[in-house]
Amino acid sequence: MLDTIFDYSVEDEVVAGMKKLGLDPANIKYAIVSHAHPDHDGGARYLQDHFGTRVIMSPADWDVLDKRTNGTKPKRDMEATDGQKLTLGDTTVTLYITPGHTPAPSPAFSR
Amino acid sequence: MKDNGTPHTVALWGGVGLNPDRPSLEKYIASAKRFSAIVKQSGADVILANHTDWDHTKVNLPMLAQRTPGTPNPYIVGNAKALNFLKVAEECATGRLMTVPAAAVDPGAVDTSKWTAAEDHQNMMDQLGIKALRPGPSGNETAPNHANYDEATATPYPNLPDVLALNNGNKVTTQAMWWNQRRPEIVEDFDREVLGRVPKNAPKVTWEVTKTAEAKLGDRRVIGKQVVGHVDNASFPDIKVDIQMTLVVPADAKGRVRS
Repeated sequence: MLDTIFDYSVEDEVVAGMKKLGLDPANIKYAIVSHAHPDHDGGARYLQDHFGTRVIMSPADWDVLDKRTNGTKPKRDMEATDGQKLTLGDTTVTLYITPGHTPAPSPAFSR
Repeated sequence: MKDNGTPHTVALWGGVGLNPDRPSLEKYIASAKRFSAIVKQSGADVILANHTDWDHTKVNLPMLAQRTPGTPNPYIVGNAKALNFLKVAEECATGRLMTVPAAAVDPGAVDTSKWTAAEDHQNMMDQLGIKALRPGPSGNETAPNHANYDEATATPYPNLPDVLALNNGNKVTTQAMWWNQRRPEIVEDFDREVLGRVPKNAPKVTWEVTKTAEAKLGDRRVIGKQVVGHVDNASFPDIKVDIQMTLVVPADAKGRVRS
């Protein structure tokens, strides 16, 4: 899963949306969160709690979340490193740290 | 990613929106350039963003839903167009950067109003590139830089220029020559060599007498005035700058008292 949308819409859009397409949300192994803004990280906690999804984000953006005091946020989990590769089946996602929008959003890049 | 079994490489730009401050914009531009090089090398032919407004998803998804076999996938745009997307991001950030004055206070910048005097002092030293200050005279007589009380060695420059001769050697013979020529020369020497010049944009100081009292100094009647110079600090109103001064002048002065 690339980004997890808001805490209030993850159930409707991610979970219900996947089911509509015939996919099982319990199979979400990783949520790559591009950056620490609530429209991208807000639903990650739900995925952690319901499906044991591992959440990946850059260390600098995890730090941003650690300081945030309001709203739902995921428990700090995996830290992305620059050039890190994540392979699932025959698809590999490469992560790059590209600060600017936030301290270090990670554009994913998949083959 | 696969489109009906054909593999494609997808590039996803992880944060599109621009921030208002220079450091973020500068980082954004550098990141966009770097990611462009990666995308070019990878040959990625799909570009995604993580907001549906940014990458045509609102158009592309309905098109995909009605796609018939053999027609192209609207997301597969080719490497050149993927690079164009990042070029636009880079150029928008560059344009935005041009509108942000360099001196603008960045949200993440240090709050200088909370600095201690020592921190403020160190910052000014750093800005001026001064590593250490020249120590003043030492009170210790045996120190090499001890204070000098010996008249004979008081000045290394005993031959001071003639006060009543112009720099070109001509003697000052009239009052007009003094006021119009010689005095400005001396003022210039002091400004250049001793005091330094007052910057053209030095803030305005408005003087106010806050207290006046008569007193005796020895056997002379004097008037003591407490004056405060209010410095115009409109550029940083949080810090009030007032110069406190006491001025003592003879009470029986006939005209203006000059210092």
